[in-house]
Amino acid sequence: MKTINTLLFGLSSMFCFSQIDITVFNHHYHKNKKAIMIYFYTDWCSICKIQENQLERNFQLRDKLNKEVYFLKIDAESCEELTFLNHTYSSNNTTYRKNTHDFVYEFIHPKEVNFPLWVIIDKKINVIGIYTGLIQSKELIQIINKIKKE
Amino acid sequence: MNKLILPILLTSSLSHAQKIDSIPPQQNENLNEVVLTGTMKPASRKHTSIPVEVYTSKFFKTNPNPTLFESIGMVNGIQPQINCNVCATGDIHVNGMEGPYTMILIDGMPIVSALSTVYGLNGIPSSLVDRIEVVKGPSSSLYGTEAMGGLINIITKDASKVNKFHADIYTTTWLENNIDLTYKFNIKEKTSSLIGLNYYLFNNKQDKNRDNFTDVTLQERLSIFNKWNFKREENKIASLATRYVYEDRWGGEIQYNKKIHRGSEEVYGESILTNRIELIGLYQLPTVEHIYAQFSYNFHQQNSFYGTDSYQAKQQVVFGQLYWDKIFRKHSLLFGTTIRYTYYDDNTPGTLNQDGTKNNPMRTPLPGIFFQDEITFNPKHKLLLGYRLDYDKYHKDIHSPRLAYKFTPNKFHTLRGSFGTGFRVVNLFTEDHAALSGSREVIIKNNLNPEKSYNVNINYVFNNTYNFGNLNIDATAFYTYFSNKIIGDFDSDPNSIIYDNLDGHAISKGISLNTDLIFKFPLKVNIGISYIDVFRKETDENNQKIKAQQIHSPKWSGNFTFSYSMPKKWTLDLTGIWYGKMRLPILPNDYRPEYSNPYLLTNIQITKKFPKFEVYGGIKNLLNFIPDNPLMRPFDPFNKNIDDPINNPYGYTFDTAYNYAPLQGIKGFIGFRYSIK
Repeated sequence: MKTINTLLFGLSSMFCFSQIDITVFNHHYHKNKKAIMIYFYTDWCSICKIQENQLERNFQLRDKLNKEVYFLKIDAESCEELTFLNHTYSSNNTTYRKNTHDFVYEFIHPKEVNFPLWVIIDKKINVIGIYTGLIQSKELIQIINKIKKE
Repeated sequence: MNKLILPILLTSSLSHAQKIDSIPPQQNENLNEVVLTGTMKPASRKHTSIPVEVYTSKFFKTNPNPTLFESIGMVNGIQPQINCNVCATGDIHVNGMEGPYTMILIDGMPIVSALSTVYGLNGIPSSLVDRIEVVKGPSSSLYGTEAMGGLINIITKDASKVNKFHADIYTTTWLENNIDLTYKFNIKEKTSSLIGLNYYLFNNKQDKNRDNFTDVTLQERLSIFNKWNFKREENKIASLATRYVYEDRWGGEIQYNKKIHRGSEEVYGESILTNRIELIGLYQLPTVEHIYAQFSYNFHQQNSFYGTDSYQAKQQVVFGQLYWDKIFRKHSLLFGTTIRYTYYDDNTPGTLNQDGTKNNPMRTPLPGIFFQDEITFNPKHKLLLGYRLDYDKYHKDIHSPRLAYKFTPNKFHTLRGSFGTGFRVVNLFTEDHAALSGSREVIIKNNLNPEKSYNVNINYVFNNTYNFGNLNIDATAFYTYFSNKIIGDFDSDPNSIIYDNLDGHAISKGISLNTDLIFKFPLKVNIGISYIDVFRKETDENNQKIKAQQIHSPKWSGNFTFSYSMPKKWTLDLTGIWYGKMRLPILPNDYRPEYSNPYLLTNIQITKKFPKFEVYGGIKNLLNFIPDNPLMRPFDPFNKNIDDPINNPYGYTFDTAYNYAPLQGIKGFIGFRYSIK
């Protein structure tokens, strides 16, 4: 599994910080339970680019996202079907017609959708926090520290 | 999984992000910090090979206007142009080309065309708009006739994503009053319905430039919109929308009374009554494949008098389309078939039969098929191929090919190259008709070619994130060739109107540049500049080739938006549009300059949000710019005394077309928005 992991990270230049692919995550989760941080972005969201830039530049945060939680970076307007643990969410998106993916609506009402969107899920798979907007690195570190304590 | 959203104990530490769940609103209000989110996407581009710009309603809120016609000018390279200083008819110029070359769609359907572009544009309230998509350049390969110079697609709000109730009430120091109300209800879980009501009233006669004519056209307008969204299995789409618009507008001499003077020779006025009905439906078939069926119908009736000239016209457009949207390996495919049927009738000789005794409305069926394939070789290279075939009874088969390429070497740079074509079929509708009388035979030459346009454009996008924030630069260079303009010839034979190919062509070329800066602190900046050169080459009466600069088309123009969010939910917006010199329509030996002076319209707005409502207000046209000489000979609108060699040696006639800026000077506005979730 480790080889798949490294392969995945190596393949895409966009994967410059320590996120994990959702299918790899589905395999790993039951063996090693950790809190989950889902980060939803879209390709047109400039604030998301600022958020990602901040994640990339903070080594302490990258390390924590890598080791202490499962960090999932997901395109909120993906054209693909997404499987999260045992549940599958279909996509009605095509190249020409894009809307928010159904998986996003699992956590948030269509009216409230804003990006970046953070979903924080504890080890027992309870959603414990939903945030829209840019989160500063030091606050992300605090969040990770607090969910670890619980 | 557990769908219950539990509160988290972290709120105290979160200052920038906004917590949505489980926190009572009053607690949320204690967070006075500003939240940075990415909902606003000014000048974002779709990731397709064809450059499509997307502007959301939030972008237009930085300078609120009751109608989309006024708001659209905030987009770089797009210019709403008023063509008559009395009745305020307008068209939307894209890259300098006049309105008839711009196709306006609502939810992807051609329901604002020909007759309805004249006053119909004012009838689209801003509140209807979720976002608009703009393509600068022709795109007939997907949209068929009329998509010659540019395309504006208005996407209406989704009933399932709006608040239960929303009210937006707005007024200005000129007493332009606008009320928008939307109410949403759900029937069971699956059906949501949105009812939108827009009422606009400007009933305050003003003559600040003292020419005895109304400065701003008086308008009363009602638009009722109802949209149904149906939730279906696997997110399949189904929606149905209908809209009714009524408008009563007039402009003219201050003492004009519509009830007494309409059509009379005593007092000059232009009075236009419009009735309009639209129906739009979209249904995704319940198949595994993504297949969509679209339908639209519109009825547009205009009852108008321009002084003594009566113009009564009626237009109906039926449109149906079926398309299949398929992702197959590296291919994003679209296959579609479409039919468009236009009915047009008016009271002029243009729509009479040969002997001029019987009415003979114009009926234009226009079937077509199209195909598009976007091939993603790898994330760096995409190629788009498109082709469309339409069949018209006069022009026979019309071919519209399309080719585009997108190259993304890395996440910082995107380069697009595109070739596209546009066409327009012959259209009897023309404003010149109104002045005609008597019987005339309409002759459409057999070998008539459709009006065509060919466009090449190169687009470069640079995006990078720095310490201070995100920078996006978007530059486009374009060249469009318009051939074969079709104009009705009223002069060659007094007994006929001859539609024939015109020997000549027009060129629109230029460069536009857009810069978006989003800072880590809550400031957003958008600056655009365009250089557009539009001219026409024709053969004049003496068989001399002449080059004429396009009227109402400034070479230089630009726009800017600065939005700053402050603590305690205050927002400050500074917006502006500037235009360079533009050529204007003048009369022979006119004393008015042929070129206007450059000018800047700038606006400031401040908004304060409260938990349930928000208040906004500001000043428009801060620098108080007012154009000169809007009317020629306003004291003699019926041209009764033009043959007076002493007082009118050059034979000037009444003229309303000398317009390059709104006639309103500085004005204040205030508005109030209230919503119930």
